[in-house]
Amino acid sequence: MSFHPKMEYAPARFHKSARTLPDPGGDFTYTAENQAKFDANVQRYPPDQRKSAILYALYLAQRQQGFLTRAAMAHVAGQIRCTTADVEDVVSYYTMFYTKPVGTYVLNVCRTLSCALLGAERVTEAISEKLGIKVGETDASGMFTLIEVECLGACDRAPVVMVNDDWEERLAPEQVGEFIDHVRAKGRAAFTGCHLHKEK
Amino acid sequence: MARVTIDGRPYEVPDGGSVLGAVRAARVRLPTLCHDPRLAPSGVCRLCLVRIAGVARAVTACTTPLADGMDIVTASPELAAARRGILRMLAARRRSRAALIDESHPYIRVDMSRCVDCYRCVQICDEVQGQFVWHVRGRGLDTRIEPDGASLRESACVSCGACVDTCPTGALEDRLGAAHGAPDTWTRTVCPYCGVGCELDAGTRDGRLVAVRPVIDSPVSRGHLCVKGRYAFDFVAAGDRVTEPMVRGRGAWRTVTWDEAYAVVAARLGDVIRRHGADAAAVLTSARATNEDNYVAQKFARAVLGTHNVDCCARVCHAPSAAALRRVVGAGLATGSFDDIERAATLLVCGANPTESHPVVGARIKQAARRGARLIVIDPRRIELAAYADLHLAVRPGTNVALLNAMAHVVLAEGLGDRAFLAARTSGLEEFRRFLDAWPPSRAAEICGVDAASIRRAAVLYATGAPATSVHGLGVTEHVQGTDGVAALINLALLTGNIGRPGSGVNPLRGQNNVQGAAHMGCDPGVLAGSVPVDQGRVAFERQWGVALPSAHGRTLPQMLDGAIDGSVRALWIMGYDVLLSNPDAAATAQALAALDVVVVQDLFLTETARDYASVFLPACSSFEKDGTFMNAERRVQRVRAALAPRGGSKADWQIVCEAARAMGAGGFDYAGPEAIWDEVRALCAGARGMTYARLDRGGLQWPCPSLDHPGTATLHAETFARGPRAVLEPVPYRESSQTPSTEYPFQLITGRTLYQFNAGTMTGRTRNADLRPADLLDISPDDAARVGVGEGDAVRVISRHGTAVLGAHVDATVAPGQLFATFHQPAVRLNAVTGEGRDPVTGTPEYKVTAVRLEHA
Repeated sequence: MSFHPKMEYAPARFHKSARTLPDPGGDFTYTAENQAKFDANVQRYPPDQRKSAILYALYLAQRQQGFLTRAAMAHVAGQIRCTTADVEDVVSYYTMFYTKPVGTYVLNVCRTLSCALLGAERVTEAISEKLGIKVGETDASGMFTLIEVECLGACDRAPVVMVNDDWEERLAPEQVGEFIDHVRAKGRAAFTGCHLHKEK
Repeated sequence: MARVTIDGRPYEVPDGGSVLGAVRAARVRLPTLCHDPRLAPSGVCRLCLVRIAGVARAVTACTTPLADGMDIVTASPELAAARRGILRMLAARRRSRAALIDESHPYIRVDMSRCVDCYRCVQICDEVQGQFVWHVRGRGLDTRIEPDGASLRESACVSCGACVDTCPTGALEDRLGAAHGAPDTWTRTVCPYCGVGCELDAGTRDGRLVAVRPVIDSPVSRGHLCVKGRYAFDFVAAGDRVTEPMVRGRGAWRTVTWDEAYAVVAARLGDVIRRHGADAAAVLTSARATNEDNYVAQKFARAVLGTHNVDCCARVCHAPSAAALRRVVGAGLATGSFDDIERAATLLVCGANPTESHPVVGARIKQAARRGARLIVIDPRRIELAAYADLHLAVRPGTNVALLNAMAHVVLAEGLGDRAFLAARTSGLEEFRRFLDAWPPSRAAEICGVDAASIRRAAVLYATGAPATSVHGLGVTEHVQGTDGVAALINLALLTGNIGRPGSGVNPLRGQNNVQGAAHMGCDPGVLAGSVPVDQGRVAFERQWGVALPSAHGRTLPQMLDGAIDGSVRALWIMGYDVLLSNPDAAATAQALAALDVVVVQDLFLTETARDYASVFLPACSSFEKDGTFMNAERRVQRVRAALAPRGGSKADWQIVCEAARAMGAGGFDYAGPEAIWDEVRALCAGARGMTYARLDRGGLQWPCPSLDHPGTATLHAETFARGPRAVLEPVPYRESSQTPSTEYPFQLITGRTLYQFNAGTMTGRTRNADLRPADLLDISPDDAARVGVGEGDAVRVISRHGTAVLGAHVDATVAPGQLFATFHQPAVRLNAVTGEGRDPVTGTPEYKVTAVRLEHA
């Protein structure tokens, strides 16, 4: 129907670097257990405030799959009753939602003031050297991912590294190698645990 | 008014609003990046920092409410330093990150390296259009704005261009006209497309239309436009515009001078009239031509040809709305205004798909629903608005009357009517009640395919959420019960007292920019300008025109075509209307056009009708090339202004008609210009008397406006109905369409419009909209697609009792099983070969909205 000369349309692109669209991923639905957890959680909010459950919904999806694909975000969107794009916004904002596969143990090195003064940078370097990876990467064994984060709220025990959901406090750069070897050998049993628990 | 001090000088500024508003009202310069009057103030750019005496720190003027007596400082070394610091941060952020460049869209270029994070695009897409395309992603330095798809083209974007219009930096930019440079002249005029009638500013440079932008203070569009108004203007300069008159001799077109063309027209029309009488000639006018064009054309038919055979394309769309409204309340006009959308507590959208067909009104309805207005959608398809609705009744095509009767039944049975209104302003309630006793929801449920509980709920929502307004489209009128459907809607409004007060009403959404005007200017065999029935207006018009008006009744458009077939109509003058593509049952239309002795076509392009059947072609100019007025769906008369000179030898429609009339020796056609024609309309029609061109200059006026100091009428029938003190509640019996599904024709086909194309595609087909919507599609439900074995994109043949058409299938869950939906814009598809001969008995409006068909693989 067009009377115009044909026009070429260029795809979207990023200047300087590639635009990273989330991995489409395969089919995703909650397991029955996670679905039940979500259904229980969403009851905490008024029906017209269903969107408030989005963080928990994403947390469940990430726990189930390790990271968030577009299919997982679409599933969450369906649960929350919003658009997938809205879910993508939220995922893009929070550093603890991963859009790429991560290792079994995610090492979150705090780099904010107290930790920085007490050598967080050298902790990062030591992990980096030990595992042969840069910040944001996962090691060859698929066991460890290194990430730098802002304040973890454990300033009195700096430098601190959060391994998945647990703190490793006062982790001196020279102890890093030994800690990683222990985790590799013993898994979660190698975690020293948060002083708050120990002092209880 | 508030008294404030700005930079040491006293000012009086309007109350309310923000400090920024006051500063702007005082015409003091204050820089902003994130401010747009269409949006809620966000204060994110921080550039409008001011000092207010008594406030400890600098505040953003846009988010600070104005108070009387404020002492405001807009410029100081401290503020300048703060602004410089903010700008430096913006610049640093821009350098630090990767920027999205997206050239996937034909009209919008994205280059986010120019983005300053003001979020105006994000806000306007949410708050004005309601499309939610632009998203803010990431955090901190990495914050970026992205569309919701892999590219803008693949996103939910509806190409309205609002984000481009608001972007302060050119990160979002119009691609059209970019090669020709920025416009140097802006001309305010009215959109050439639908009946919403948005004002727009047309930007020209070197005699070329290069840009269109919305008008912020337009009462209709409020600074918004849709893809058609904003971008689909290239048809004006299309290579195949015909710009010289042509006459066909022995099958071949010959370019002639205007004088020669008029001589041929005069001779051939004269010949037909001499041999077969004046009623063998007929005139069809255009709902896309101005009021002046249409007035002159019907005057030409009545005073020069001597026949009431004059009609316009309102016949095939909203003639039933006009007929029903005229019959029940006395004026064939929308009873309210678009502003009632915002005033209403409940909105009933019946047989209309405003987000595609009337996008600016669609966006306003969507925003009203988002703000919490109740929304009821009655439509066979799950249209976009259904997602925002409290209730969607997926009524079976052609059963509106049964559904609306059942809703009225519930209103009366449950005592939800407005008793005071019924007692004071209606009659016939008892008889009406007896009639409705036979229409419980359970009966309608069976006919309409909607469960009885939903019908009841719709009635309760509508009746208890006052004020309630209804908007309806061709899904109500284009049925064999078109007029009845509108009457049933009016009944519902009367029962609940929803006529004649703000926020209420029965409002037809007119399809083309001047449908209301064309019919109102007397392009209807039964009425004269001002919608006066011929018999009532005869004396005044005969006096004004100085001729005797014909006594025989005129023919409507379908009757003209019937007459062509039986030989009683021999000549047809068609102004800006592709009859062959637009009318139903194309085979019958073609037969009628072929049987005519003389077909004069006045158009921009050699339309299918002109190409195949015209004997004389008179090149008209577009509405961007002429002056005049349009009357939109809310009765608002607005000025159309020439932004360009007529292309080549083309002329304005009124000019062509007047010159032809003079060539035929008629007097009374020597107007100096459109204003002189309009002044004649004003002299004849009390409702237009107060509407001088000077008064129409800004924003227009709503009909009726009977005197020079009258503000125009936003709400009709406020105290009394135009027909008298009482409206009659009229029982409307339901009749079944003949197009019910059968074993041979198991599907019901609905035809309608898409956002990107417009009617016969004459204009939009010649713009880049054709890249966004390249072809007509047949929407089929997933169930039916699986059952019939049709996949996405498959070519299918649609076959009815009247003809066939081949088009691509689109599997679409918004369509109900057993139904099909197709658009009718593509000349090559010619969907109207399929639609049938069913007509509304009152107005002759064709039954486009339901045709029994079957499908075959093509």
